[in-house]
Amino acid sequence: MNILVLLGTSHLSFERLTDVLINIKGHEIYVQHGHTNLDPRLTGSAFMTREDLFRKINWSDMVISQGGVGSVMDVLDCKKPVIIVPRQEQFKELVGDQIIFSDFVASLGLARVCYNPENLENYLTFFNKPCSGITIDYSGIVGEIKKLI
Amino acid sequence: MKNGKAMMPSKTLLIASQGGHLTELLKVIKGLDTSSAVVFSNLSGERQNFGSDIDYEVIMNPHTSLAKYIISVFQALRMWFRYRPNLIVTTGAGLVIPYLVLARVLSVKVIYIESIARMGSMSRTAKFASHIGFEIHYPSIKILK
Repeated sequence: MNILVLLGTSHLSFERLTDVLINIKGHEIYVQHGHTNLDPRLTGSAFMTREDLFRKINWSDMVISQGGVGSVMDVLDCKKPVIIVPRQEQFKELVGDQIIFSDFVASLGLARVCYNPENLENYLTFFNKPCSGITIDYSGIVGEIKKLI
Repeated sequence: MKNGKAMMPSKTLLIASQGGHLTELLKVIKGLDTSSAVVFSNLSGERQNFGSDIDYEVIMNPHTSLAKYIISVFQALRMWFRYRPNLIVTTGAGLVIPYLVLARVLSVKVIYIESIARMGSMSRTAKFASHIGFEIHYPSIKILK
């Protein structure tokens, strides 16, 4: 299985996740690692253009996301299964954390949330289904902007 | 109107931190003619496709550093007098604070859009924007069947 891992653009490291990726065998893993140092045993790039991001999402059979809204929405737009491993403030992985949004997406059945990366491999085994999606509707806000023009 | 899209005012600043903030901002402005707008962001290695008709300025992300906040204030002043905006559209985060203060002082309109990630509580930047009198706008979520 091809797995894309998206760590976003936060200036804070997320090695709690990359540490477990090293031990996951039998899958091809590509990591967009941002500001997290990437172990030489893993393959990936720090950042991607949006064009490359969508190319990689479409290459993947499953995406593991740090829980950022942008990446989760992009993955759901492409109808790929997504496992969210949310960054958490208690581990100094983010100012604030991604849990509320992650739980909301999971409550709709659109993703699974893995709070402890050490359990991640179990999620790969039991979660591999295509999903429908959600979209964020900005039409009301666009209407407000038009009123100001 | 131009090509069926609403014209942006002559000087609109579109401000967002890199990553999800910027992704959300680009979704917002998709339906607008951005030929007279400028995107302000702090991309570091990550490049986004804004389209050919939109200018772009790299600005400092002052996150976690007081010294950077001070420098970013001077950068904001320089940018403000270069573009003299009459509308600011932003999805946060902290890098927009100097621009919010200038907009308040100079009575420039602001559309502050809170991230959908902040479903349980308002972000600190949105709290600040609200505190100085700007309305906070929220997108809605639609579930695709």
